[in-house]
Amino acid sequence: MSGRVLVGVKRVIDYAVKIRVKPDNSGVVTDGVKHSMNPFCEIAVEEAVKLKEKKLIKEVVAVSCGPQQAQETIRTALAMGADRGIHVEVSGKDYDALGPLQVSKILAALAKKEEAQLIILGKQAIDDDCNQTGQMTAALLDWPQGTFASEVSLEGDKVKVLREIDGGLETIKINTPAVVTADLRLNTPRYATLPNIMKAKKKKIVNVKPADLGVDVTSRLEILRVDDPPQRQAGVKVETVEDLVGKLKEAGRI
Amino acid sequence: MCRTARFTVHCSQRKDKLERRRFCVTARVNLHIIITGVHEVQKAHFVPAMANPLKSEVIRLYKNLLYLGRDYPQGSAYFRERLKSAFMKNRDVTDPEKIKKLVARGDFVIKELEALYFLRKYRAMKKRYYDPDK
Repeated sequence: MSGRVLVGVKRVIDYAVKIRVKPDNSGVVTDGVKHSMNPFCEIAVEEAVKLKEKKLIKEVVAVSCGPQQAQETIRTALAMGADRGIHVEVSGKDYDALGPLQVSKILAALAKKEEAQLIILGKQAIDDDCNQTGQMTAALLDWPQGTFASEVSLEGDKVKVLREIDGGLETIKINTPAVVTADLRLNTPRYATLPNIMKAKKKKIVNVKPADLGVDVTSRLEILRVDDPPQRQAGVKVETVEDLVGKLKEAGRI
Repeated sequence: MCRTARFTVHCSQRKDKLERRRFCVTARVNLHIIITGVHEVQKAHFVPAMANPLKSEVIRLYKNLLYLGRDYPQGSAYFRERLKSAFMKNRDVTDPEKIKKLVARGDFVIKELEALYFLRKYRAMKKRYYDPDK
C-alpha cells in the first residue's frame, strides 16, 4: 500500500461563461475566455484531501494534461490541499485533439509509475461532456471502477462506493487499486483562498511529456462540426379561452 | 561624502513631503472649521499609518476580499467599487476593539461569499446535468 491517490484535474472554460461557437464551426472560442477547474474535478480533489485529512491515505497528487496554463489548474488543486502536482504538457494540435482515450492512457501510465492506490476523477468535464476518462483508465489498468460516487469510504484494502444510478443508489465494494469518479453530491469542495494559493506556490509541480511516459497522443477522431444548440421558439399570446383551446387543438395537445 | 550628500537630499525631500502633508492637514482643519465652526479635527489624520498594529490585518482582509471579488456574479469591477467604499466608510475608526469587530465582520463576509459561489456553481451543475423532477 503506497497510500498515494492520483487526482485528475481538467482546465475548462468557466461554467459561468457564455460559450460562443467559432464562425467556421470548427470549435468554440477559447481565446481570452475565463478558464477554471472543472467543477467535478474540484469534487474529486476535495474527496482526496478529505481522505488525507482522515489519515486514510498519505499523499494526494494532482495531474493535469494540457498547455502551460494547465499549471494554474494544478495550482488551484494544490491550494485546496493536494501535496504535489504533475503537469503533462500537451500543446498545440495535440491538445486540440486530446480526448478521453489519450488522457486515460496518460493517467494509466502515471498510475503505474507512481504506484497509486486510488485514482479519483470527476465523472465528466463540463466542456466535452464525454464521461469516459474514468472508465477507460480503469479498463486500461484492468482495475475495478466505482463511477458516479456519492459516498466513498476506505475499508482496509477495499473501497466502498455508493453510486448514483438511474432511480436510486447502489452500494458496491471493490478492491484497491481502483478508479473512482465523483458525482455532484459526493461533497462540497472548499474554496481555494488567496493565502492558500500563495502557499501552494511552494509546492512542487513536475513537468512531463507524454513521450516520457511512452504514450502516443495521436487521435483517431475527427471533429466535423460544432454547432450552437437550437434556439428556443418564441411563444404565442392568445386573447381568449376559445383561442387557447383552438391553438391547443391545433397543436394536437387536447 | 557622496553618501552624506545623498542623505541630505533624501532628508530635504522628506521634509518637503512632510510640509506638503502638513499643508494638507491644515487645509482640512480650515475646511472643518468652516463647515462645523468648531476647531477640532478627527485624530485619524494625525496618527502615523505604521503605528497601528491592526493595519496588516485590515490589508490582508482587503486583499482576500479583492481576490474573491474576481468571481463575483456582477463582475469584479462592481465588487471592487463596493468593497472600496465599504472600507473607506470606516477609514476614521481608530478604536482597536471596533477595528477588530469590523475585521471579524469582513471574515464573515468572506465565508458568505464562498458559500454563495459554491451554491451558485452547484445549482448550475444540477440544472444542467440532473433531472429537474427529482
